[in-house]
Amino acid sequence: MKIGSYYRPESVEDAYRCLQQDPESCLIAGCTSLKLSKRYISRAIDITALPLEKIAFDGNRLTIGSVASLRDIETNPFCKAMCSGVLGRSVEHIMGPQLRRHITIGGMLGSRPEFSELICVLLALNAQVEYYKNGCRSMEQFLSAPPERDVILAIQIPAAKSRCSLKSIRTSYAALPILCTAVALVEDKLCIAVGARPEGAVLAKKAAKEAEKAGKSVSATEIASMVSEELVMKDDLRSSQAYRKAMCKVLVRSAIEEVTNESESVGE
Amino acid sequence: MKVNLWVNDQPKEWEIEPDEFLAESLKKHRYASIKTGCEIGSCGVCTVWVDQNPVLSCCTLSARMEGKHVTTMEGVGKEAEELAKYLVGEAGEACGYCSPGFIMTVLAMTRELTHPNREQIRTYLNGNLCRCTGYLGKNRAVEKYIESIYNYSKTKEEER
Repeated sequence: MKIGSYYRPESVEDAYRCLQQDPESCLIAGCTSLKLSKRYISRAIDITALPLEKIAFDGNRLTIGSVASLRDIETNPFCKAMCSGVLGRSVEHIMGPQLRRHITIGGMLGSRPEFSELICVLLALNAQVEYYKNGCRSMEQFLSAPPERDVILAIQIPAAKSRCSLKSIRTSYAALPILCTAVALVEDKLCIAVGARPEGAVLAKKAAKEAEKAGKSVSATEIASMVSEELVMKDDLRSSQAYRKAMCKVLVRSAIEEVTNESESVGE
Repeated sequence: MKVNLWVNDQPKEWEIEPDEFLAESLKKHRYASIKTGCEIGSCGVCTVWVDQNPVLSCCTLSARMEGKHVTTMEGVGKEAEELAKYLVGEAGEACGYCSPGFIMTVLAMTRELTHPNREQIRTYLNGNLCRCTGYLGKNRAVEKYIESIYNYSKTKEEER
């Protein structure tokens, strides 16, 4: 990474204006992913001083400011209370607390790492990404569209009676996951997201629809098999496609069983 | 560009590049405890405190330090010395390259967590890698150090 000049905006409007003025400018926050790139940034717009780090819960939804760090998410009481702390669990394997204090949720969404368990969970929970000018995008829309030159203000997670389970497989505690699955039960509907395939997280819509149609006559094992069939998995250095397909069945089944048997619910 | 900051409670005005990271700046100004390892935020060797929070100086832009208080191991000499005694006692010192970052993380943990248990200690120190793989000695040393400060504060409380 090479930076031409550094700029600390006074407001979100100021940051947005600067971003539009120069196509080679870039918003920066934690700098952890940018540091790995060879990109030239003519003007680095540092948004960490803007008041975008708040985490709030209004009874219906959890709002996480885009500059909140993963460590904030891990330790915040509202985040801990949501779905039995699934948000915290989705980031706890990322090295130590120092690194998690650097990485911001907005920065993580901006760089969209394929192996991110947090993105997988947000997708399953049907989170919304709130832009400054372009309004809100569902996680699914956000991940399928190219990055927008706008400031992400916050991530909103609807909390209405949802349950969520995250299951991942990795070779050691701090290793990147070979596969991660997040299953949310929102108003009796299953929402299944699978990430690190090794491509980014996607929803298994067809399997979820089939499960909804069949109701209780379909077992968790059958739904997990449908998910494994539906989603594209590939080989990479960490695992083979066949292993991922096999593990997908195990992880999804286990996650479905957990959300359907769980007695506690979100926001309580 | 210029940046005004505090390092170990001393005011500083440094001339920096816009893409200069804090580890580079501190090394340039001869803070000998600053070591760098992976330089991508994965090993914890470069840990310092910014406003009392442990951060990785290899990933922290110096330009962002305007008005901030940076603490390196030189700024926590007495406490560091005390913890180092336990590291030496438990053969957790090894080559010593990771020690400054490790010590800064342990001291930050003692401020953040009250009497952490073994699991909490291991989780907290997960981001500090040791190239000599001397983790067992390090863990023993940290547990004993924490026990000692816990017992010390307990005795103080009882005396009151």
